[in-house]
Amino acid sequence: MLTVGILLCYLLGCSVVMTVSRKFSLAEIIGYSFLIGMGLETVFLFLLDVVQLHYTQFLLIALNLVVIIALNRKFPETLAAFKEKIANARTDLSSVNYVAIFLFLIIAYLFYAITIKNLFWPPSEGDSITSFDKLARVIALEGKLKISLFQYNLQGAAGTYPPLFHGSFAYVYIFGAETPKIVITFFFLSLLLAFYGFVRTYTNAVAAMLFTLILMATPELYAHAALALGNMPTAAYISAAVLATYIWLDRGGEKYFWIGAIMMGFSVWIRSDAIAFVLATLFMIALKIWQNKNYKHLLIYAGMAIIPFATWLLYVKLKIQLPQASRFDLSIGYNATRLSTMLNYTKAYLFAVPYREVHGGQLYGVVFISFFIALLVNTGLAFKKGVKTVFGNQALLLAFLLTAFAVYFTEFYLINEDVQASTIASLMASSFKRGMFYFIPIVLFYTATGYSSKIFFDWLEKFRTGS
Amino acid sequence: MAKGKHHQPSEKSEKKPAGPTSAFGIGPLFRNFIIILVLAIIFIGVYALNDKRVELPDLYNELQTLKERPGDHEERINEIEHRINEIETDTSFFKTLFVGYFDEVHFVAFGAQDQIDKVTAEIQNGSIAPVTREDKLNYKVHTYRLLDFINQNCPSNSVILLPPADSLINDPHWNYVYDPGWVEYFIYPRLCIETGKESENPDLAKRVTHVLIVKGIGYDRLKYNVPLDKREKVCLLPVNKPVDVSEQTDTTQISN
Repeated sequence: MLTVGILLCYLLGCSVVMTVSRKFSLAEIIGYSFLIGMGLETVFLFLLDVVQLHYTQFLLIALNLVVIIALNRKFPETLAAFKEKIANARTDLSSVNYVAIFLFLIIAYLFYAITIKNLFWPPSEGDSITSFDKLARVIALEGKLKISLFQYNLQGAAGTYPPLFHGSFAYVYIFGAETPKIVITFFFLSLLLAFYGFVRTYTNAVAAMLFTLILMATPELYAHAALALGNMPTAAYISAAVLATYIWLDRGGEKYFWIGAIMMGFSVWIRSDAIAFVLATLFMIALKIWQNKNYKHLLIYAGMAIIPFATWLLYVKLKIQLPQASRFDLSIGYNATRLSTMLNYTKAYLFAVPYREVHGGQLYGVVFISFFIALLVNTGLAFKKGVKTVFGNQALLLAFLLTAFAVYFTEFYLINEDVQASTIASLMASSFKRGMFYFIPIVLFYTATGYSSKIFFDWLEKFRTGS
Repeated sequence: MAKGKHHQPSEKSEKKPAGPTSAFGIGPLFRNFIIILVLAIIFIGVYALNDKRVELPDLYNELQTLKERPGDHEERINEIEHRINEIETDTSFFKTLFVGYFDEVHFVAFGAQDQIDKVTAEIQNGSIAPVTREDKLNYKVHTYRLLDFINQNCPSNSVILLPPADSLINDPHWNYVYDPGWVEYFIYPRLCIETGKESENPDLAKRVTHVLIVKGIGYDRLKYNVPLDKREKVCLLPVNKPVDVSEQTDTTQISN
């Protein structure tokens, strides 16, 4: 039954993607399908809980089928689009891109290795045992989101987190999974495929494959592809949301707008603190809309992103009714020690240097360093070629990164250590460190598609093809 | 929404290859091969930068074994510690950028299947039964047998009083058996509460049915006296005196 559950999830997501547009690439379709499908499955779990219907396989299958059929009223056209894509994918040997295949084989091997590790071990990480996996198992057993453990305050810290991550675990448990970590493998696959699709939109296959390999091999991120923790899946949603939105702003067209808005909705449906990225994305959109006055899109986007956030807040307040102290201490003011600790950790992460128990280089490899090098080279080129030529709309992406990081940093600065039961140093060495995942695909996207990279990879492509 | 304007990416490089030879007289196949060769050399070079780390797991294992084994091994211990230090502190900026990649390729990509086979063999230890989720948890979680013992010996409506955190928090051997949030994962639908935190959950505190005794702590929570000479260091006892001797929890399985 687990296969049926996963298949339904993909079909559901695929139906939404194909409803948005039939013109996505195969990598994009597969990448988005699981993210959207699993997001919607957890929306179903939420709605069934609200109407007090006990979760069963039958109920979920029926619900999935109804929505899939409703979305596929133009199935023959969708099928034709698929056939066309597969036909276009065929190619003759003389035009095979062997370099991309070589890189793909490395990616495939690394993916295989981390997958067998992931699927062998049941969850044993502290956060998973005390929260995510415990919630999921009990949700599947009790057939509702508001499980009995809330009554005794045994739900763990993630009890008030939006349900996408632990809900995805619960979904596969409902379909008979022994451990939920198959979901982690699909989240990782979706992150890589969606990223490849985004980068491929701007550059050639070799560059897209190389940067997908760099993304996948980022040491800390790769390790998380075998852990039952929510940061890597959150990175998949946030990066898909931000990059799709950026492509919409840069290239126009509706399809990336809708994918961006849907993914942003799910970003806050997986973690409420992703609201930092909603704010930064809205800022990026506002910068563009300032020029074209297209306020309708801004409103729709804001609605899509904020409604799930507000819905979950209401659910926690009205249904879970857990007394909660505010996670943030707004009266903190200027605290030099705290700021210095945070800046030192940030410096370690961004500039690949050690600080206390962490070492940015060991955690994120070349990711941030290559971004800064690309930025420096592009800035140098901007003096020669002009700012508009070199940066163009990518200035929006840089504005997003700066804003998102500032908001994300501020969130941590304001965290109430007593409520969080953790010191700021400990939070920086754990939560903040894992939260850096959300920036990695976006930073790599810029490095891969920036002006200097484009010059280099265009040259490489000319060399490769001999043209 | 599907009918929105589709804006085709304009910069995709979908160039056709330039036939069997190019201006330089090298065919596309050969050019592809050159790029692959350069990439392979870069990847192998990056990998080789930190190849001394291959020794680390064996060194750490030997160090731990020597420290646990009685006898005079000081010279060898110093030697190993020196070597570990030499490898771990070989951290030029450039090298440390690639340490993480080395570890993931060597220990995960090349080592994952070997590690799984080794663990499987260790768990099975001659048995032909397939390795189960419980076996794996037992391998990963030191106290899994103790937690499973609770499940085997307490009815599903039991409430377990866990030992106080301050008695175990500095002893990694006991994992988090004082933490209700952690223990609950293993014993659901049974419930649990930490000693000393009863006031935070008075309803649950009133319903305690069993006391988990670890390091001999918790006998004072029982509503009856257990003679000193019969007190086990680790056991699970009903909070009220059992009427029937058979209701007493057998502690032999966990007392080790």
